[in-house]
Order: sequence, then structure tokens, then C-alpha cells
Amino acid sequence: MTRTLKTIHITEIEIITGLDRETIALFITREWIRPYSDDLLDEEDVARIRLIQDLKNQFNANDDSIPIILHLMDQLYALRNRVSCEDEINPFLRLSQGKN
Amino acid sequence: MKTPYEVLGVSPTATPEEIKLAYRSLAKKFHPDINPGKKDTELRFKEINAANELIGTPEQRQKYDEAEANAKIEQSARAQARNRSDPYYQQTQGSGSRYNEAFEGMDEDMFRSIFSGMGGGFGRSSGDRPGEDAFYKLEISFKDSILGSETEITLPGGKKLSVKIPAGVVSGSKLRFAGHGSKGAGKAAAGNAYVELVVTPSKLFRRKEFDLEIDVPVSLAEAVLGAEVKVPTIDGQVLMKIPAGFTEGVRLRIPGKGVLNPASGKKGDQLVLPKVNFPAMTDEEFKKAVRAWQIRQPQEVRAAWPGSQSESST
Repeated sequence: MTRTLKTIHITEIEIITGLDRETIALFITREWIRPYSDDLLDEEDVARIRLIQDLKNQFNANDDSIPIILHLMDQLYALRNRVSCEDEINPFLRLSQGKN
Repeated sequence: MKTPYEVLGVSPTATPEEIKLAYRSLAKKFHPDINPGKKDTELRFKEINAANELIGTPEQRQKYDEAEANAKIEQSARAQARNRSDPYYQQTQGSGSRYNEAFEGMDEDMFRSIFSGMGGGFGRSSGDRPGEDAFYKLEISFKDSILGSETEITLPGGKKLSVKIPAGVVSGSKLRFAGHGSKGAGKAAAGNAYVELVVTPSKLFRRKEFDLEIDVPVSLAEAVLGAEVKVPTIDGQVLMKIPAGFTEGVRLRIPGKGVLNPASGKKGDQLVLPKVNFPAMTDEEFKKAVRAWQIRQPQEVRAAWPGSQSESST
């Protein structure tokens, strides 16, 4: 059940995203993306790069706001996962703990 | 088929600024990362992008207007879809994703977490990586699923976990044990362990939401005359009165012997379905008695039955 994501080589990512290697390296240096290695990324990294592109090109987000947006989105997704997980489990857990 | 002007909601005589403004406004509204899980929004977003590609700049717009190629928008949307075969960010952010996993252990002080380490970093060095989540399945008896229980499981590494099974769980319920997954690299937190419960079906009981249903065999005499029979419930036997002459399919209710409803805090009921076991019809005395009874008490059991009205009324 553990999720495994397909890893993609940097050259393929350059083609997919239309970004050059230097820009992707800059994203890594700024820790906007954190791949397993500098030239081997996975689908999650690529999706994050494309999100950064959308933020910059369509939402006019500047470089200073990108990490804030990413940070907030990561927290939001973590909370969403947590809530969906707890929805499934905790109605029972809370009652059970409350009774004992 | 919509024209790119219609897609962007602008008139064909709109200024480049109006088109740009409309595009930005729609792209923000329909961006898949703002509308997670909505397929139609994703398609709309692609359509908006495709429209913008056709009329987003004066040069492109001139080309489009000259060609009047309405069909291009669909082709372009298809091309967009082909180009974008990789997932949107929100599609990669389910449980176990690396980027949001850093916040899995996030507690009450959310704001401190938000504003700490925001300078592009995530509050830890790039060598830190959270541990992976571990997933296990635990088979439990039907009775334990209804009443709840406590058990201990041993993880592959030899670590023991005390598992408290809450009353009323169903197959597929997951219990989370924070920090019991793989160890994190560097200073990062360990992953979580998830235990999925698999309930073994009961040979006696059927669960109907918060009620439990059971068939109880009764003899013909018990069905005709009524009786008191011992009926198993999920937590022991009870003596139950079977009424004389009950109708087929009746469900007799034993209150409070069902499943705990976490929303109301009350238990459901047990529903008892008496099933008549007819005796072998070889006893002449029994047949004689039934014949005599039939003469005294003739029954028109199919009078109101739709099947007896006419052959065509099916």
C-alpha cells in the first residue's frame, strides 16, 4: 500500500516543463522542491515545479511569495489528509476512549 | 463549440487588457490546485488555457480571427491534455506525499509552524527526510468488531503495539499510530503506522448499519402456539418470546443489542427473524387434523394476490 512514485531524469523534466536545468537547480537551491537527488526527480517534484510555474505565470506571484504559498499549501494538504484519515477512524476512537 | 472569446467570457472586440484580465481571473478560479478533486474544473482550466493560447496575444489573436478556426479550441484543449499527462500538484498530495508529510505531526500551534522556517526552507536541512508510513492489516472477529477489544500486535521489526479496537468498527477502518512507521532521516520525524481492520464475517449475525440481524429456527408448533426460545445475542443468550401465529418475514426486536452508534452514543437493536422448520409431512394423524381444520377454517390466501387476477397482469 505504500505509494511509490515514478522517478524522472532531469533531461526529461526539462522537456516536460520547458524549464532549463539552471532554473530547476535554482528551485532546488531555494528548497522550493526537494528531490531525492539533483538530477533525479519524481512526479511529485514535477507537479510542484509546474505549480510554481503556474503561480509565477498565471497568478503573477513573485519569488518572495512562492515559498510562503508552497508552505501554506503543504500544510493545507497535510491537514486535509489528516482530516480525511480521522474522519474514517476517530468517531469510533473518541467514543471508545471516552467510555473507558 | 465555444469560441475562445466565449470561453474567456469576453466580446470579440475586447481589448488585449480585457482578455488578459479575464484569463487571469478565470485561471485563478478554475486552477486545479484550488479545486482539488473536481474533474470538470480541470477540464475547464485546460479549456481556458487553450483559449488564451489562441487569443492571449495580439499576434495569436490576429491569426485566430483570420482563420476563424473554431475547431482549433477543441484541438488545442486536446493538445493541452496530451501535454499535461502528468498530474497536477494536488493529485500528488495524498497520504504519504513527501512535501506535506513534514507537517504530519503538526499540533495545535499551527501558526508558529507556518511562520517558522518560512524563508524557502521547511524548518530542517535538505538532508532530513521524514520516515515512510507503514501499513498493516489486522484480522478481527465479528464479535470484537461490534463490542471492541484490545490486542497486541508485533510489527515486522519486533516492536509491539497495543491496539485498541473501538466498538462498532467495520472492515477497512484504519487505526493510526503516529511515529511507528520507518525512522526519518536526519532530524525528520518517523513515519506513521496504519493498521487496517479486516472483520471476519459471522455465521450467525448479519450487520445492518447499527442493527444486527439473526435467523432463529422455530418448529411448526412453536410458530402456531408461540414459545419462549433462547436466542444468542452478540454478548450472551437472552430468552425471547416468539408470538403465536407470527407472519412470514417478521422481525422481532431486541432493543440495545446491536452496534454502538458513535454519533448518538446509543446502540442499535438485534432483529430476530423466526424461520419455521416444517416437519416431514408423513404423519397421517397430522394430515387428518389439518384436513379437518381446513374444512372448518377455509383460507382464501390468494384472493388479494395480483398473480391470480389474470395471466396478462404480470
